[in-house]
Amino acid sequence: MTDSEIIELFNERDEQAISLVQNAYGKYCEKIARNVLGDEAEVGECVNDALLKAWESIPPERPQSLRAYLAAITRNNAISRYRRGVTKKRENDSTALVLEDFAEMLPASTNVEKTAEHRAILEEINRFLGGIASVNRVVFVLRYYCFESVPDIAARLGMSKKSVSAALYRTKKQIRKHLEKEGYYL
Amino acid sequence: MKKDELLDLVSELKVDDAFVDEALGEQDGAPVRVYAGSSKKSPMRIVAPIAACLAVAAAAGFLVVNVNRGKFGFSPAASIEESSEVDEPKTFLEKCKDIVTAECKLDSRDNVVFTTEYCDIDFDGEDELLVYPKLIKGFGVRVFKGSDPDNIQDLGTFGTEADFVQGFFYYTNKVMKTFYYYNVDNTPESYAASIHEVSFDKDTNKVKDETFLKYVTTRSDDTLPAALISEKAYCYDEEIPVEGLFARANSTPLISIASVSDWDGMLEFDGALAEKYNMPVSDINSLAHSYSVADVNNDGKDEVFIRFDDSEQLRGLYVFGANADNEVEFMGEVPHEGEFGYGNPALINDMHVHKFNEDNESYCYFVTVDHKEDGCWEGAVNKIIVNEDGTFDIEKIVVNGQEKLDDGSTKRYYRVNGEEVSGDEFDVIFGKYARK
Repeated sequence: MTDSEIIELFNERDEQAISLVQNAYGKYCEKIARNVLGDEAEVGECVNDALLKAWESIPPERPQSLRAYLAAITRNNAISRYRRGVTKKRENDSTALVLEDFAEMLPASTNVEKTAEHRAILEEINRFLGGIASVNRVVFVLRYYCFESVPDIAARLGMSKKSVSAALYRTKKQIRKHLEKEGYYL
Repeated sequence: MKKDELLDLVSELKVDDAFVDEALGEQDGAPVRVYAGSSKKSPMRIVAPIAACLAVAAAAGFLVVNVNRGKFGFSPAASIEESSEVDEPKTFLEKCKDIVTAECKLDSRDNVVFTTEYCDIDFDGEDELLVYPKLIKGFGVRVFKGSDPDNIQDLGTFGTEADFVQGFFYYTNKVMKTFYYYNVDNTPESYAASIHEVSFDKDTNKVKDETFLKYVTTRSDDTLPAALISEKAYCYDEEIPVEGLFARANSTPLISIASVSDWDGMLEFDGALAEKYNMPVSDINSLAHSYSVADVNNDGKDEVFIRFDDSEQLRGLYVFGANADNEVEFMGEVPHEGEFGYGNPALINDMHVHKFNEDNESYCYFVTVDHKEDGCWEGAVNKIIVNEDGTFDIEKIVVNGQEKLDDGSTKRYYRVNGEEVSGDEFDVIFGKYARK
């Protein structure tokens, strides 16, 4: 069944939509939640919440891609939970590593007035991603949007860990250069 | 930037749906476990599809839209399985982390970022466990052996001289049974990298850490570090005098600058290619994909071969060496067709230039696979020829492939020095070149 057909079921408040979405995309959501939270019970609740949010928001929302829509909801849920400290502390806090990594591209600023600039930077990053090689874009999205670890990305894409690290390094460097050219580091 | 601010920022990162679809690709879906109740004490698991839970909820008079967060489809009645919390015994990994936590004099593992690696550091065929707390100053990397949590063998610690072991990469030279690790201290202000060789003291069965090659720079202008400088070289336990920028420890083909493990951290080749192709040095560095070292002209010093990513201007195998003043010098390009491979043509896209030594023959070679149309291909051992004028050519000395015949069928062929041989004969000859 296509996304459009599933969305129609949402519109008709047909509960079959949930099980279809769960079957098709539940695993993506679980993975993203697990990447951020690490705790299986938290993962379950987070995905639960994401499906509930999807049920509550469609309609009126009509996402082009249910997978991307659910990924975004799950991601936001997971980050909120992580921030609240609801999740158990993880010995190996891979989310913290992703954050540190991401920060390397950005100007270090704690100024509240910079919030608007930060949003503009994020939009610029998204625009920039459209112009780079597919493999580098995929690696970037998996790392900083889906919070996947470097070994998991390497396994998923059939690359070595070093190649993944090199691709991330190159892309971050290119993004930073691009942002400098656009005047974001003045 | 504080963690909360970072979280705000990262949570606001929006990428096009198409990028997410591209990244996530296709996967089989699977029913998600639905959890109800608090996750902190006794998680109650409903192992049933959500739709069934919805049906139960509807039957029990709950409207889905009224279901509380975290209790989607929850019915307090029949379909709950209760499980009580059980203290599971700690795994080998957990216990090793506990040991490191105690040695760091920490009360708990909260806020400690542990990194773990598995590799066969002592070359006995079994992987050891490397554990290091990423931000504990001067602790280094702890090595543990075994798998039984009640029988953990402690092999000691290396890397204690580094402030923080951060960007940890390792390289193992299986022939020499040496383990190198490459530590990076990478901040916006500076870039420092050092390469170490780790060996074992057989008497104490503990690791020893010796600096093999070291390089440090600052990154004030956002360029990559300058060329690698060798300080010491070892052959087994014997220190060998260093000659020039790229030194070979002795005449055996097995020793090389194997510790140069990551091109984008260690090598910068200024000027020559930039001038030739009218490209910024930084662009050239970013296109460099993989490297290999070998003494191609038999002058006693290794040259470095760099393979570049596809680009219109740079695609190929470029050779750099040290001149009489020990300065990096661009020596030329090695022409080739096809993709690089190891000795085994099945391992594609990984470049390695080997040195062949047998019966007074000594030359460098590399393996390629050239994919052609209609399922035809050719794998070759390419011997590197150094011409009198300093340019490079190749000679395909060992070849196997699949070609199309006039009748449209395909046929395998095997040739050594231009002469047809059988598959069995080919295997014996090719085996001498194949990477072990």
